[in-house]
Amino acid sequence: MSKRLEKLGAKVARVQDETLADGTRRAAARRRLLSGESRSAPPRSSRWGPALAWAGAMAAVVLAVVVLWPSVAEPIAYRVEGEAESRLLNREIAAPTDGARSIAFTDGSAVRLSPSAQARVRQLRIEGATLVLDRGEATVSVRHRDSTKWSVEAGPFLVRVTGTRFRVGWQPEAESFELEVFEGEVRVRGPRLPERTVRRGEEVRQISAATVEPKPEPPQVEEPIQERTALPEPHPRKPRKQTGTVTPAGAPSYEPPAAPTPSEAEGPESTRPEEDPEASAEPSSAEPPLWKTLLDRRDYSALLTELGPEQLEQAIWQADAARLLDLGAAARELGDARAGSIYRVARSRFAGTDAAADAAFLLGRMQFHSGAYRSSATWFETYLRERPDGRLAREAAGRLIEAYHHAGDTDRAHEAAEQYLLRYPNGPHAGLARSVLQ
Amino acid sequence: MPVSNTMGWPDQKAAGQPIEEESPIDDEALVESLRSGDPGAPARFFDAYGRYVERLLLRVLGRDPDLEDLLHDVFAEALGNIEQLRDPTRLKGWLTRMTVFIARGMLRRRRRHGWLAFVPDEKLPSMPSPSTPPEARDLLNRVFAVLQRLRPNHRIAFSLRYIEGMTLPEAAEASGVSLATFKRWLKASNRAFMSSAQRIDRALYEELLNTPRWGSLS
Repeated sequence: MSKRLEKLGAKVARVQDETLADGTRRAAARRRLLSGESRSAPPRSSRWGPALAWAGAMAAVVLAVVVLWPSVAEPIAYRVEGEAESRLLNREIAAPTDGARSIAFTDGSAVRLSPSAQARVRQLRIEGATLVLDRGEATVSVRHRDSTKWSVEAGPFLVRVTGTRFRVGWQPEAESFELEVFEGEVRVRGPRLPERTVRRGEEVRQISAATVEPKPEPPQVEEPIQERTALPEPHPRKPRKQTGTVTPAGAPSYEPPAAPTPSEAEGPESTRPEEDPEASAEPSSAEPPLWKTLLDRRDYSALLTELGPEQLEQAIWQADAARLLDLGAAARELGDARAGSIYRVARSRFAGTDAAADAAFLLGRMQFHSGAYRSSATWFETYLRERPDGRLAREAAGRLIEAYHHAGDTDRAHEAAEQYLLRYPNGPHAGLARSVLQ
Repeated sequence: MPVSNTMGWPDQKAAGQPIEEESPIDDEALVESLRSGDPGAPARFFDAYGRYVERLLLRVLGRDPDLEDLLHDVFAEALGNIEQLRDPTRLKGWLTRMTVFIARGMLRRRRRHGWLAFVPDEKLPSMPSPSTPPEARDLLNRVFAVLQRLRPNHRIAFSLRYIEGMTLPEAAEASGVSLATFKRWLKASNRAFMSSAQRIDRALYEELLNTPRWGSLS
């Protein structure tokens, strides 16, 4: 058990360490200390007011429990991150513009709202829930059980689920609906979209407004199959056209596929006319946003210097893992302090993948060059913990020695050097390791 | 065109500036200058150890509205008692014990008086950066919700050993108790943590037992 608690504690420490980057509290304490000010306790009333309100709320909860007890089998509950368990219906749950927000359900299902997305839990049942996506994107993971009844409403579209993982998007202004299934299958229906099954690897993009004129489909040719590399993404998104309603997702690929050329079109299996005759190409007449064009062109310099913050944010949250890391590298080259944040987003979005581990290594290298050796060591350790045999493991192990050595932490440098020599006695940092041990 | 900070990001101009961190310190010289009344010494003392003390307080207390006050108190206490430090080379250890002592005092006061000392979320110190995964932020809140139910000594043992990652002898020294006593505290804290998690956060409890109940996208 203590090993698990150690792991848990290490996770907590990593999150806490990010708060330490904000020196506001230290600056205030330092100012007071040096000016001889004593501590200023907050007025008691400000604490007891909410406390009494809380006590009142607790009393109401107790009363409700007494009145309603015993109850029959209860519907599932949910918990928005950072909040208590709840069964409140139709309460607006909004993700901030600068971050995602998670909702966990007691049946094992989970929803992650992308930045700026809004949703509500409309119904809670014993066997599932109905989520209304008012705007934005949500990644949904539904735990499959025999009787699972889960659905997501996005504008006029309904996605019914029995156990799967998928991403759904709804933009009410454009009446634009998107669905991408990562695992399992879902049933979807909507205006001019008869109920149909969407399976793993398939996407649906639909404009619900009846006025959109479908354009003729481009000639169908075989799309070259991307060779899967050793570094897959969990939620691969291949560059795709604005047209087409059903497309097969490309093979997961850490190395991004080449930008689409005009001759590229969806493969023959991408449309299923026998299953969905109305789901033929329904292109959007809108130009792709600038961030997407620049991202597809891999013009990272322009992304960083020419785009406004919202557009850059879009790019960062939509880019695949490889492009995101490239964008971080470009930021570094430009001396743009957002490089670190880009790598952190990569770690957040692609958590658990090789890309996230690579981002940790890159953060370590970045901190090292800025002179933050301890922080740098923490990132190299993170890489080694996540990918002990990863392609950058030897380099990370070597740089860990350097980081501790520069930080003046002899014990840890010694330890890192021993570990290095055990694993890489002839590695490029072996000389340094031996000198540290002497 | 420079891109602004809607994501709470650092300013582009900050590029290339060293990131704040603890720097190697000559403790003996620092103590000497503090004792001799060097006017710049308290600032150097704070700059050398401010982040470390804040980190320790954060480990033990979590996201706490009194953290700034306590950080100030630790240094005020240390400056007032610097003459009592016998071995100047052990300044960091001495400061660590003082920090843990002050944090323990706060936990005890809270336990005696304040189970109703509810602090609204908006008054709590800022959360980690927006790029922190939501699950990680959530986990932080949940772990401290469980820790809040532990006795102060058990909570300290848990925080120093598991969150700060101190070795047993280091944590015992920081707590100001023998190694045997610390081991006893730690054992009790393991039991208390699991028992509290089982009562108030079943999902966390089951995660620790590897039987998840709450959904997770990771």
